[in-house]
Amino acid sequence: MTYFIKSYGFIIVLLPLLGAVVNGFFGKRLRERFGGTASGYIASAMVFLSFLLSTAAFIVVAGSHGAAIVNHAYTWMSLGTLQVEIAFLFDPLSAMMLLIITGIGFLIHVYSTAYMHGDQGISRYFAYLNLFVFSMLILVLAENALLMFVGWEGVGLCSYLLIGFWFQEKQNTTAANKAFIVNRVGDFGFIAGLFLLYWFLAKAAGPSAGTSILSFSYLAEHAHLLKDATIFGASLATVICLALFLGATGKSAQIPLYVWLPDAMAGPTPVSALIHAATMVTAGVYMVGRLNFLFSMSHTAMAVIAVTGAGTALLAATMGCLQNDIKKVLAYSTVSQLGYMFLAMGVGAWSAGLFHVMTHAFFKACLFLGAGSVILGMHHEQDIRKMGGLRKHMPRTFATFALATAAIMGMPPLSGFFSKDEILWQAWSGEHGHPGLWFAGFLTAGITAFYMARLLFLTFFGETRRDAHHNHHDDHGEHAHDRVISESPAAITVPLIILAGFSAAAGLVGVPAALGGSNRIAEFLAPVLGHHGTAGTHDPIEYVLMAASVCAALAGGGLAYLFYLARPDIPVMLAERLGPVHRLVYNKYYIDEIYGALFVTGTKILSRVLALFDRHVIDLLVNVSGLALRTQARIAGWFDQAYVDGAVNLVADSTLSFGEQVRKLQTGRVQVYVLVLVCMVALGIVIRLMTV
Amino acid sequence: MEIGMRDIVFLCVALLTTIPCLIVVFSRNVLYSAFALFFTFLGTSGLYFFLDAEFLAITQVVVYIGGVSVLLLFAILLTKNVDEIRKTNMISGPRMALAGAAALALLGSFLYALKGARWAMNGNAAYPATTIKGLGDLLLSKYLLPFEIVSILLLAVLVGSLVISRRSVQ
Amino acid sequence: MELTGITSYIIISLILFLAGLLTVVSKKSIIGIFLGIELILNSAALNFAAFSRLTARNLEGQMVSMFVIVLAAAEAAIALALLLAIYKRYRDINADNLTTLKW
Repeated sequence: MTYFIKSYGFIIVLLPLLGAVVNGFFGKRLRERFGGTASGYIASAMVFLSFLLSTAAFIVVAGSHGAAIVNHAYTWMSLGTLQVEIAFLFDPLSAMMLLIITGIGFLIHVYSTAYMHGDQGISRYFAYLNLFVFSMLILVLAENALLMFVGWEGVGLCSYLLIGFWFQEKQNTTAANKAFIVNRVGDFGFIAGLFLLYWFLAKAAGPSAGTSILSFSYLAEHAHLLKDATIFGASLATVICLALFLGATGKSAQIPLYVWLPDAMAGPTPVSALIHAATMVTAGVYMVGRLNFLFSMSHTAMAVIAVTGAGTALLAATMGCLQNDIKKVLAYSTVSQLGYMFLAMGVGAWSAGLFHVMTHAFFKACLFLGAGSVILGMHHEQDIRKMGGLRKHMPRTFATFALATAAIMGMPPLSGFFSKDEILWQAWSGEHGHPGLWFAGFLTAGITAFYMARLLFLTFFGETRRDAHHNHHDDHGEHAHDRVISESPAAITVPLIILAGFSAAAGLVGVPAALGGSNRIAEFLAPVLGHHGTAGTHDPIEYVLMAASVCAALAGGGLAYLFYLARPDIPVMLAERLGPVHRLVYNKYYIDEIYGALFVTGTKILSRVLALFDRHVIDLLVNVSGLALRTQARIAGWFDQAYVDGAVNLVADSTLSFGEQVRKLQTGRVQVYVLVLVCMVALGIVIRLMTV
Repeated sequence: MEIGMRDIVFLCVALLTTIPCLIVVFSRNVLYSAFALFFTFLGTSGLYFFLDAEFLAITQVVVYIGGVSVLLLFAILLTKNVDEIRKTNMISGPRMALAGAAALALLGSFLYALKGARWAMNGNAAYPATTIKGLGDLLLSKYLLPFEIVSILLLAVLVGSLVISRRSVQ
Repeated sequence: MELTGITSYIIISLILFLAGLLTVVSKKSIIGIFLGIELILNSAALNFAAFSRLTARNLEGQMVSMFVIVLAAAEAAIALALLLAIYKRYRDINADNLTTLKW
């Protein structure tokens, strides 16, 4: 089986691509012949096959005790020292991500067959979704940084396509554009980091032709060369890491580039679950984990990552407290949890961060799919103020949603508890840890519990508020009776139940030593990430911290119970009492507006300023010189006047004739263009030879 | 410098390649140019034999002389009035002068650069005795993807050229 | 210096290339331009084959030459089709008169 993975591992990647091609090119014909469900079945089958192979790969990797298996599929380019292979790396880290992507991906594909049932563009939808899985698999399996970048861009493209899937509505396309453009900023950082890395290593290591400089094994071996290198007076390692981290902030929605993720909820809900919660947004964390040897060389970069992560976690959590759209709450929660992961990365707790990637993938996918089920049951109503009492109508959705909520709140012994506490403990005690970072994480845990409980209570408990806010359903007469809230079909609830089961149990692979476990996931990932501070395993402080965070979670949940079930008048009163603060948080600190003013309006203002400069300053210069000339002419008499006129005319005439000449360059004759090109090349070469 | 038979033949083939291409440049009769090009192709094919690239040489003959040259003649016959063939390949004087100057400059600088050039010789590698087998292996292993892409390209060319030259072009 | 060394091949292909360049730029008819392009492609293919045999001593360069030849054949077919289309439309194949690129 090892041989199979080594030789044919690329099949895992290609299967979803095949699905995408079939659905993309023959989707219409499939629909005509087999009906609308065929696309979904094909897409799901491809991902399922890929999942089976991934399981095999995982078993092989687990059996090989951390030895990486590389499948060299094809030499992409071989240009001197730039050797890039299309090769896929199977090691514990990528095997774990592989299972998450194909496993959760498959469940979400199945879910989508019901959720998107009857949509006009269903084959387009599944083509995009398969293409996404393909790109994501390339991203995590890539054996070199350039191939990873290909996947990185690919998931960005699919995210754009799927956010704007219902492109008939303007706001969806705007959201898609926003996601794409914000990601572009991050991608610029990523590619700049890669350029720097390649530039330096090609220079410093002096490799012979045929070594693949950007491959991760080569990078890991030669990263030490970066140690004393500087660029523009700053440490090169820090510059590279910060550039790469800029890429991560774009993809993983961290400060300052997180603004696209909440808007990305414009896409279909399964897309939000797959791309904007479980897989794509964790790509940044994965990248940092994959290049951990690089990041651990720069304390500055690590500190920046930790502080950014903690800041994002806290900021996004507070924003989540006052959102009323069910998906928006989950979106801010995702941003906040991603902040957690970066906090872990920043303190050097690589495996804790990736452990949280895994548990978060389960419970957040479950939450999003549950939200999708609610939205479906409520006939595309997303405002939680109009929900309530759904637990009677949708028992299975309610049960799974509640379980996942408990997991994200960090209730022992559910998965979120273990991963979150591992991160908090490392933030306190780790090599790069700091009590301040821990406190930010601790606060976030409490706030998270509050807003998640609020979401749960408002949606599923109490009495339905569906008609309290608007009565226009009555306008439809007997139509209103059709709109009963009912449980979703099995294709939706079964994935929910599976995911809920994993959200509950997945934490057991990472039970810390302090609780009698052996933190198997850290052991498993150790060949890639190295062993990190498990010192002080029986430190009593660890128990104190654990108890503290559980108390924070309980307090948050209790507060939410008090506010939204027991005494619903309190939040209204508080909102009035704390008017300005409430408005500030409710409007997400006006950060979207600030960005709009800064960058969008900024560009517009800049152009206007330049226009004004043109109109006033340059025109003024012209006027002044004209005045000066007139004065001079008046003083010097007709001779001077004639002379000046002549000069002015000369300028005008020469400009005109120059224009005439230049116009001739644009002849439309291809041969003249070639001639100019040849002459310029000849000139360049001659000059170059003369100056040598 | 000892000049053997091989060198003499090489010289002849080199001249067969280079002299006709000057005719291609300077002849005003497009038929002369086309036939001169034919000889250049033939000479290149001979040079390939000197490079031990038999397969390439044969491909050159088949594709260029058998295919491209014939296509060329068709093109000339279909678009030219044969009566005034002498003036069919006119040269634009000013462009020729400018381009000639540029070409001379390029020639000079390339020859100058060539004088001191050192090539990274891979002297140890053994060159295969028959290249066809090696090429076949390469074509179906390392270059399989480009090979398939080229075959799709040729299909596209087949269809495309038919579409372009259809009788009714809107 | 050997007569059949790499330098000779480079000079030959240089001559082919420059002749092709001159032809492309100076000829007035499209067929002339087309002849020049064929010369340039030939020069490139020859260069690849020469380096493949004499310095790298493996078959990779020959491979590229072969692809060049194939592409040249494809290009010839398309060029003929375009030529006929242009001729049909303008009754003329003088490149100087085809200035629709400048609108």
